[in-house]
Amino acid sequence: MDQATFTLLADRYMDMVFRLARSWLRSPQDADDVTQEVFLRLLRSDIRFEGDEHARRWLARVTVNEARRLCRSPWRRRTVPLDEHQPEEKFNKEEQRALFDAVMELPGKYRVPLHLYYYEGYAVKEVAEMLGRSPSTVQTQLARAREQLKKKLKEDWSND
Amino acid sequence: MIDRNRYRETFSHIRVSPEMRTRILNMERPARKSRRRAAALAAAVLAVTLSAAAVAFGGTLTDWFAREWAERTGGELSGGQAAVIDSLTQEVGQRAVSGGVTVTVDSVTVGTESLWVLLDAEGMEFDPDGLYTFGTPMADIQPDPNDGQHGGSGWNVSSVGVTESGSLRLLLRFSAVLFGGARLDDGGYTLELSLGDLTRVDNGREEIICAGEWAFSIPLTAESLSPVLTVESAAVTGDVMAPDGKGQEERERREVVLYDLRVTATGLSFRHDGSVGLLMQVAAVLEDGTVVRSGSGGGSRTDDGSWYDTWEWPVPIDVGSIAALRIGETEIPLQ
Repeated sequence: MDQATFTLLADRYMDMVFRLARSWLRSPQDADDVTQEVFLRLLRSDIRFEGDEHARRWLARVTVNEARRLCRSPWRRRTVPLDEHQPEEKFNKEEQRALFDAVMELPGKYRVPLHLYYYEGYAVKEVAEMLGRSPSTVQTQLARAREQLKKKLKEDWSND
Repeated sequence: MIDRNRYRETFSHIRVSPEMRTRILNMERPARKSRRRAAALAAAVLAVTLSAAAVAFGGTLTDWFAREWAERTGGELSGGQAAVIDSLTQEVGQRAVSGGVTVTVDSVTVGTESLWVLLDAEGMEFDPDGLYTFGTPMADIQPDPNDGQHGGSGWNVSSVGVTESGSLRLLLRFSAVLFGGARLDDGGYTLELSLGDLTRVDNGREEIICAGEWAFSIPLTAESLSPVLTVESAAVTGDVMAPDGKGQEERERREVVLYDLRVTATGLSFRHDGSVGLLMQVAAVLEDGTVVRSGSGGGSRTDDGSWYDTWEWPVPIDVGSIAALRIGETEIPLQ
């Protein structure tokens, strides 16, 4: 990939990749590592994207795979305590902080489909394909995520 | 009421740090001296393959390191480096059969705190464009170099190509945090490997193509010990995570004193007081100006409360050719 195209795509999608990695991995440093690895792979690839959506989906898939790979390694669990050196994300409102904390307390299998569906706007079928799960599993996981958030925050989730 | 808008509003605050943004935007594709190959070799990652076709990889570990070096630096391995890699590499030849598939441990390159193990699998047809791994790989060093204390290890396995004879080549990479002075290459250790379920990865989905278990016990004999360059202490400046005085932590730029720095052919280790978390990049600067950025790393708090950090070079380096270390924004000359 040429440098100019890389710079354009990196600038446009870096936050998207980081958010998705962050939704999967509780450690911001791990999310940093995954983000860096995703863009290194992009830079070294020969792929030609058919459009912005093609690039976005490719980056999302690679991010999911890299995050999954990191989770499989026992490295971090045994050598870097996860509660050490955690930076604070800054929010404008306390309710945003509360929602973020509540989401990050969810199991990963609920957090990631929640993020892909509600933030990135992928359809259930697309989320299922990306995560290697059935659409019905993803539907169930979204419902359970919403239920758990409702209990934690004592607020209803509007149906959408 | 929680809804999509509130979720989006909340998570829009999650962004890459300015430092990481700069680092990524400044990434450069290594210059290629030779004509672009028709294939990409997936090194130690599970990801969607982007290549049009894979070339047969029937080479040795040294050949694999040469490809990695070319990918990362755009240059060729020096004679000195190839000699270092050869001296750290031992042939193994152990085989195990399960589910009709024979897995052979071809060879292993033994570093101070890291290993590279070249594996062959044969007995079924493999797609040269496919990505493969083992679903449940377990790797352990016996006896425990850390004697049950802190530290730890990590590993992953992925395919690197298909040979002309049709066998699948895989690479297992293993890294350990050995803060007590133990070395994997001093001849006293054995690598215990258990590889379960040969698996193909396709678009994020994993499919077991051969259920089975292949187990090996590989003595790590030292062909030669890598020389060690030491630096008693060095003050370096760079990004850290530091307490903000309000019970939280924040990223800032600071000077940190590192001590007991040790540089070997396969990595770098050092200690610090552990009062901050280091976010600095680490690299070796060679005499010819080549900059070799570290690969994976890890750390562990030790009994005295200090922190031990270890970093791996992606390819073994001729220690004699390292002119300096670059840690954060500081360059430390080495004699």
